[in-house]
Amino acid sequence: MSQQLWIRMANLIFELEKKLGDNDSPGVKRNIQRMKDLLDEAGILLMNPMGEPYQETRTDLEANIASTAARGGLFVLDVIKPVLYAQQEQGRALLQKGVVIVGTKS
Amino acid sequence: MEQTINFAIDLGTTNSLIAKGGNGSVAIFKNPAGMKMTLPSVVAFRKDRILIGDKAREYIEKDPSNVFAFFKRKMGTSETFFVPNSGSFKTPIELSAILLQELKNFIFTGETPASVVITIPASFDTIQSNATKEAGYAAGFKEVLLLQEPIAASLAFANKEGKDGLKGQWLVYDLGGGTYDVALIKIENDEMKVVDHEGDNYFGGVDFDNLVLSEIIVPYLAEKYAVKDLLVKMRSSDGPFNKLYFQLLYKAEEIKIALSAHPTAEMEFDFTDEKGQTTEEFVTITRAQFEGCIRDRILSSIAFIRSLLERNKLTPAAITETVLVGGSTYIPLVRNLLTQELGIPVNASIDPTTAVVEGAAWYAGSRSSSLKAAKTDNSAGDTVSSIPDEPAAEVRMAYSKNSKDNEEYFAAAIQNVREGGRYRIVRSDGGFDSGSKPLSARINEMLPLLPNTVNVFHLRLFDVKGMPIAAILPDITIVQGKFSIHGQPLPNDICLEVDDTYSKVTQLEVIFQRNAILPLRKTATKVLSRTIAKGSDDQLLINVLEGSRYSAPQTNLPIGYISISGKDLQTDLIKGCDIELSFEISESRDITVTAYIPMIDQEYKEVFSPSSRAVNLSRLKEEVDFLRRTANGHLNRLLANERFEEGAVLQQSIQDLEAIQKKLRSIGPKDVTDVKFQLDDQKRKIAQTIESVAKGETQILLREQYFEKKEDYRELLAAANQPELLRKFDEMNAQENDWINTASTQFLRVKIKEIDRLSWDIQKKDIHYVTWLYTVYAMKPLEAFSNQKEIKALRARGDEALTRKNVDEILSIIYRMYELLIDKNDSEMIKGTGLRG
Repeated sequence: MSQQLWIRMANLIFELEKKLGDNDSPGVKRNIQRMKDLLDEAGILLMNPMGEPYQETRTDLEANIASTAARGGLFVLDVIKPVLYAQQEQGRALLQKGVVIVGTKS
Repeated sequence: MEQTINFAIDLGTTNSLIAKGGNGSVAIFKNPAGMKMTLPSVVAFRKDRILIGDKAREYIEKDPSNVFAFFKRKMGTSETFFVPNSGSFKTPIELSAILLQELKNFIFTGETPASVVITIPASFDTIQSNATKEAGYAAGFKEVLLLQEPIAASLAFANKEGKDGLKGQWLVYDLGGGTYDVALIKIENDEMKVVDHEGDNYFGGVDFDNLVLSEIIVPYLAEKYAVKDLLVKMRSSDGPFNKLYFQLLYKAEEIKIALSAHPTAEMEFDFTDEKGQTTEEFVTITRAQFEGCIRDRILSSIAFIRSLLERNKLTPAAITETVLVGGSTYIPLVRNLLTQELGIPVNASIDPTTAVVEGAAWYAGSRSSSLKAAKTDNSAGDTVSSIPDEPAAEVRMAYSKNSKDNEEYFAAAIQNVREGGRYRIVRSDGGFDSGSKPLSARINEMLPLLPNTVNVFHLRLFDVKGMPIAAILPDITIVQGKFSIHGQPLPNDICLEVDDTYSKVTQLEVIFQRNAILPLRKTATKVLSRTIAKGSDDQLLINVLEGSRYSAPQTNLPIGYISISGKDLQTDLIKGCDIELSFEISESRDITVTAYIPMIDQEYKEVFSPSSRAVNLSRLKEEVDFLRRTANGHLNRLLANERFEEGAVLQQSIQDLEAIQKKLRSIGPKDVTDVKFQLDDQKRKIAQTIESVAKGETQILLREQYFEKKEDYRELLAAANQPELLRKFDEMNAQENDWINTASTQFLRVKIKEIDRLSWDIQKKDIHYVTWLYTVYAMKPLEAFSNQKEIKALRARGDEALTRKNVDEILSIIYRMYELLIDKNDSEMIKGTGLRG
């Protein structure tokens, strides 16, 4: 499967997991974990930066800065698209920047 | 030899690119941080660093007074920009120079070109053009050639279609992210010339995104949720809808792009109304709706073309084609309206986002540089100073090479630092970029790390002009996670025992390889190889062993097992159902095995530590029995070949095995003594003895047999003309070297059976082979079968079937005859674990 198709699949899996949220559904969670393991096998690393601190040095994120953000202490408040890296023998390379909304934690 | 310029830059109003031409091809460089080809033409001045491109764009809404975009249109004017964060003024030339220097960083080959071609709009006059050259010099280039954008785009098209590409007069319609330009070009005296041009500095793709919001989404939401002045509230920086504005604008851009390829697209988002209630919204937008809101803007851009043509006293019929440039020309309505309204054919054969830089690179590849000294390539890592006689900067670095945290502290001390210098640290995968920061005698940075991998960072130093400073700067390598004080490699393979249902023996499948570094994790899904009936004594065995994966399972050390007995089941476990397994080894070599069976929704989990062992008694009995039968088989073969010495060793082994069997009979299933461990150890030693005795001779024989069969199979394959099977065969061959010299006899037998099976797959479709096989069975004496009456009937049917020459029919008769055969020669087999291999 071409890398482009895997990227789209990775985004869909991320969205699915996000929708599942805190719903306790171990059966569904297990399937989602298997899908992520498959991504791993395909050489795609999926990272969810939710809640992580944000600095502008993070070129793996495309940030929309909410204007309510005060000085200092920016965090990722919402993730629209996850960060994807391609795993190769030579190392990792960024495939897709995470699209996020950052601001101060209320 | 004269050098050609080769490098070209499209310095756009919204986005810029850099490419290299020459040698008949063009390559566009990607941004190493983020891997994109386009660099947004935006510069942001933060308190402690300068950001360029995507990162700078993030601050447009938040800190607009320190962010600068669209400064291209101010080139050649005396307007300057005040930067509150630094308290200084910047000119458009300085801002453009920053962009140009950033683009130079995209060149991963290590070259630092002295000459470059930079494109300019057709509307630029002399002053504006000179300003662009100045920017080039400020960025460190020694020679700057200018090329008009519509000409560059036309060159890209011409090179694609060959010399006869563009004829007569044509239009270049350039609709980019934020600007619109249209130019009329023709060839005069063998040269491309811009005859006339028109444009609008405030019309581009971003307007379409906003139209989707203001004409479709916002009215829908405002009505459904009864929110007054929703758009104003969304755009206002202190309103609760501001976050929504970003989300929807981003999604509107995605929708716009999707609608170019599909007739409808869906936008999904959560909407929180003024009462605080959140609803999931799914809005479907059709292409027709989208086209409805952008139609008027496009029509007015076409009106520009009409006045352009009128001015030049031309009718559309005199124009050969309209060449499309700029990302927004992907939109089908743009192409359709252009063709419809003007009647001029549209040419979209080149990627509109890269057409300008491509054409400029072609041009650069054909123009010689007028610089005297040819620039030599530098390899990445070491860099050449802009002032040759300057002493190199000395850098000493301090940081931890291994880390368990997700960031590490990095410090460096620099000698011979010049005033006004800058530095930058980038992570090699593109996920971190410190930005351009002022350089002093000490550098301190916190470097973020990706988990469980090697993180490589590059440090670069620049002088006040932005040129690289000479210094020895080795890569900064930090390993996160994996290595620890206890970290040891695994001394042996850890394997799972699986069934080979064709040979009716078991073999090993590797879970974790020898020398892998702990801790490790792996998941796999297996399939049940036979039905386990509820209430029966049968068991599904998940048996984990330590030792070479090519050995026989009986010779390896059992680490632990999970046994799921029929007695524990509420329903039958059907052959073919999935078993999800996951294995984990900790640093202290504890192995956790988890098995989940979706069919009965049950999970089983066991942790095996290296200090305790478990021996499955019923399995031990099966193994001892299997070994005895195998040893007997070997013994007979040895004696037949008069190998009496080795025969004697085997006879001793067989006696030892019988002794073990006797002891096993007197151990109950709940025995708490160490006896079963002792017996297991003994069994393994005997298995190894049998293996080594049998190995020598049998191995040679088996290997010969294997190669013979492989050759036969290869011939079959050649005659059968099946490329897929041939490919699988080659794959098999490629792995052969790994095991052919060290494999156990059991493994070799398995491989031989594999080739037999593959050959059978081909032969069973061949009528001649099947006919021959039938006659072999049909000619066996009646006494060889268990039901003679049925055999007679089968033979009659079979003879008839031969006349019809139906392969499948004859095969079914052969299968039935085989089932009835009494002696199937199956003595050397062992009960499987239940996991299909």
